[in-house]
Amino acid sequence: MTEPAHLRTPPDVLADALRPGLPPADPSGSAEPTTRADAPQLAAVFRAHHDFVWSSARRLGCPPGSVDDAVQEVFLIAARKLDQLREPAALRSWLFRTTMHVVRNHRRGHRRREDRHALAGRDAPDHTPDPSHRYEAAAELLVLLDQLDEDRRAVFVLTAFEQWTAPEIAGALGIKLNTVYSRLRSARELLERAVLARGRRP
Amino acid sequence: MTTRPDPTSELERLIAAEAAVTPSAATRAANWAGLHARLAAAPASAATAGSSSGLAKLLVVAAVAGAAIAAVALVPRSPAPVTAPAAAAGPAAPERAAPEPPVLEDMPSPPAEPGDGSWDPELVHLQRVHAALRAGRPADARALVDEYGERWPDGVFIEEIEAARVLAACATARDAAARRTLAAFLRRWPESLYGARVRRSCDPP
Repeated sequence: MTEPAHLRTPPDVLADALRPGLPPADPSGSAEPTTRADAPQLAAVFRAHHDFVWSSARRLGCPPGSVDDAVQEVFLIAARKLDQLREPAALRSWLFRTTMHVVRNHRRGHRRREDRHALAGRDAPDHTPDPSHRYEAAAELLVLLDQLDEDRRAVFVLTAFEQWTAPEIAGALGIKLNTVYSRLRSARELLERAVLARGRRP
Repeated sequence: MTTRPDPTSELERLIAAEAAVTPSAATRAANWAGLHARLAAAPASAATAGSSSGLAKLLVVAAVAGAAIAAVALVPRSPAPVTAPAAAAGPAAPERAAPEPPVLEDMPSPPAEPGDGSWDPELVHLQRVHAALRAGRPADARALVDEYGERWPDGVFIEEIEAARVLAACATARDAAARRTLAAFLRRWPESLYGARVRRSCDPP
């Protein structure tokens, strides 16, 4: 949920990291001319939630070469709904659910391409190499997550990586609290079984 | 004879490894540029659909005005997060034609509402606790946790609240008192879904 202050990235560091190519911060705080004065601003939404959307897309199973496309599509959709996305907690929930939809579409497209390649006799997988695969343990987890269906995967990702509680997940995904608990338990059981099955590397 | 790690610990190890992977600054910048290009290519009809503010205005503002940046506290899960190389971003989006996003017939409508309204006030309170934790205000979180206990002694989310109490205690100081709070939680809920998380929060730095 949180980390001690010494582990957190200071806000100005992130702001500096984002500055190239991004609009400069407006010290006067003048708002973007959206219709509603309390509507969030696209740049602020992007800054605050980019990493969340990027990581969620990756963990929800977006094909490695499509993660950045998916991220941009999520924020493009968000840009059209800024007027309706005023409440911060609801915004994050909405971004996650939208990421689920966008990732689902990318996965469908990816499967179709793989099927075409299989028909054409190509046996090489249509995967853009992902340099992050050098991080072996992280890549192992993504492989294991592929064994979960979308519903269990979403609940597991929000719990394990975003530290959302079961009630928050129930609210965000519009499911019952008991459903969250049961999906989470079965996801963990499936993953632990998969961990055992794959054995332990020396 | 080699000893196999228990699957729970091994799964936690893999989760920690994945949690440490974050996008690089270059990836963020490339995605902003890609989004910018797609907004620029969006047809005028799309720009006004569903929002009288319009994407054209948004684009102008994104280009020249900038936003007041809320203090964004990115919380890396590890003291030394692994940053995905910029190359992972692939070619920057501005180089290609900017297509419309896929049509999503069942796109959710914002904002989300809790599934069961009966516990809304408790959920709102729990979210305030978590917001305080995320903002690095464990003292506020503890005060809210105490308040929850007073307002809802038989609250639906008591397990979540007590887990938050451990997180707040360990965020304040990973000392004997925090460990006692952790131990009390684990005694009361030995099979808690939050067990691994609260344990991690009290691990030595």
